[in-house]
Amino acid sequence: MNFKEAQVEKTEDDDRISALPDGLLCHILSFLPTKYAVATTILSTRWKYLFTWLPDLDLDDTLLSCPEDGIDVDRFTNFVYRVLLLRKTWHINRFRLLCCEQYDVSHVNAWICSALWRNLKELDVSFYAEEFGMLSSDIFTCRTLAFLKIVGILILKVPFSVCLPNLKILHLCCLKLADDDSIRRIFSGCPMLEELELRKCTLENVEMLHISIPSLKSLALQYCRGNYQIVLDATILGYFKYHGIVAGGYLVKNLKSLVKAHLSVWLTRDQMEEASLHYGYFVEKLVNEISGIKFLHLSDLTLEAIDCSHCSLPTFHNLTHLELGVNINGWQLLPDLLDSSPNLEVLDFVEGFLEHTADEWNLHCRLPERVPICLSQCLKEIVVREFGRCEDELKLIEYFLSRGKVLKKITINTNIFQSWPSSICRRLFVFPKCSKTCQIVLGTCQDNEYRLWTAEGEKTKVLLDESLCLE
Amino acid sequence: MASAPENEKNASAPEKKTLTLKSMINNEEFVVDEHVALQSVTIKNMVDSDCAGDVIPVPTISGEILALVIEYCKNHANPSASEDDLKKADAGIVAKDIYTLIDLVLAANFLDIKGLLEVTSQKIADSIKDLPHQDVREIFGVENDYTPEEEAAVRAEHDWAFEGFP
Repeated sequence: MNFKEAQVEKTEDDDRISALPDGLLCHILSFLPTKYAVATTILSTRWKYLFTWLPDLDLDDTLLSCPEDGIDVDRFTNFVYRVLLLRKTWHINRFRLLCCEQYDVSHVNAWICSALWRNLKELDVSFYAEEFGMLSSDIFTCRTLAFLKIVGILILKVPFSVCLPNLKILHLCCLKLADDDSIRRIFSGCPMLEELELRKCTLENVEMLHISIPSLKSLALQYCRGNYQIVLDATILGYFKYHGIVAGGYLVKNLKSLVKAHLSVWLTRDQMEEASLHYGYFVEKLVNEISGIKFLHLSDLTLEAIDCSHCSLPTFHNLTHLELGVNINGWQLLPDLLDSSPNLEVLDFVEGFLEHTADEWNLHCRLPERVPICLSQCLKEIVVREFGRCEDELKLIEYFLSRGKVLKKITINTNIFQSWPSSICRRLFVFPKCSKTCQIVLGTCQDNEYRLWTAEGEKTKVLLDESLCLE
Repeated sequence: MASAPENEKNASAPEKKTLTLKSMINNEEFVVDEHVALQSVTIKNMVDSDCAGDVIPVPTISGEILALVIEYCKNHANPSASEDDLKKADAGIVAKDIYTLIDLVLAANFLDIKGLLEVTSQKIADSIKDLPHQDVREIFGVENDYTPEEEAAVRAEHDWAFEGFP
């Protein structure tokens, strides 16, 4: 909806927005980055002091108009101090600070502390320093904090006593955590923690990443550096995401509530060469520990790591939804994976059949002649993305169609080409189907347009991407 | 086809409780399932404290706006609606002219419906965000009562905030 047009149609010209109560106007303004909220002071005297009552502050130094001059560190610094000093209300609900330029750590700490002391509920700070600076330890004793996200090349100095009794969500990114003890102190000070994400953190001096949090529901460990062991003890954990090299060991004490796992683990060259059996054992252990899940995503590198480790796969009795990124090693493992998933309903090749499918691989020959249980009993849906039109891929589709006894739908999507050639469409639609009711859906996705194709190779309808629908 | 499951439901489950909401601006009445109406904390408090009669009067909200509010509540009371569905439906509800949006934000605030307050506030904020101030004044009908000197002083005071505005 174009607001200017709407204005022309309406004959009302009374200033309805300025008549809104202060609290409501401030609420609306808090959806804006604070820079824009402060800029509304220019509208009229009614708006002059509204920014001093904002419940949420969102300070972002990248919101500058003159890219050629870069970010003016001094002016942004003054701006932040002014916004904080001129506040007429004591409380701050949410404080977001995004600094792309370098600021003196003492300034950043002062800004953070002034927010922390005002019954802050959400703190979201991204901040880059050239050297590892120290972040104020006051962060760890803010009793009102429910959400804490820190992104920055900083040393997280954890005080002796951590007291975050209301913290539910903790995201730490790019930080350096000193040792096992600081990690233990953080977690033991967060009795209500439900969601934990450690991303690109440096854990070089950490021997054991011990995550024992009874309230934890979601855990993501991504690209953390160091050669640590991971110990997991989380009774109600439902979601586990692990991206990174194989850790120096996994000890799972309790993950019995796990429903969904997203694994992308790989072996470094050293790990492969020097101690592949050793690390392979770790991979096997990790995979075995999560065998009770319903939804599993395994990246191509994970499949390679599992394959390298020559481990035996457990039976995933509850697994109904499997997402796979397969590379050539993945295909070696696929028959075993299908055998290990007797209740699988949805199989999603998230990166297509192979990143660069070449005809000579003859991938379908790697699949067993006999039909895995899931294909004959429960596999209802197969999704193939990034389809590349190769002969090999067509043979794989033929394989699944001819063996899937209860298949209801095969969706083949691609963003590699713009239109399905009718020759390929015709072939796909006449492949012998074991399940007569199986529907074949062909789609192309280009420039936010999703199109469906029929046997005649014509598009049947154009579905726009959600973001476009909203316009 | 639509009536079959309806009948089944009626046969097995006790009759659904409904509430009647009445706009005090144009006396329009809306009969709404109780669980739909209870998404409004204000109405919930009235019902919980037995202050709600057969017809709940809703002051200061027109029938047109009340219909939108009820549409929102219905969407969000549907347990089978996916997050995507809700997002699309919300976007449809707030795709309105600015006067309707202001009425809607007032209604969401009065009826204390957190989700509706968020989406309407976000939509109004978005419409302010990328526009030059003169346009914002024009669209919202804000009268500039600063003297030129005062306006210059405000601009100087918050210079960083005005960078990028034409």
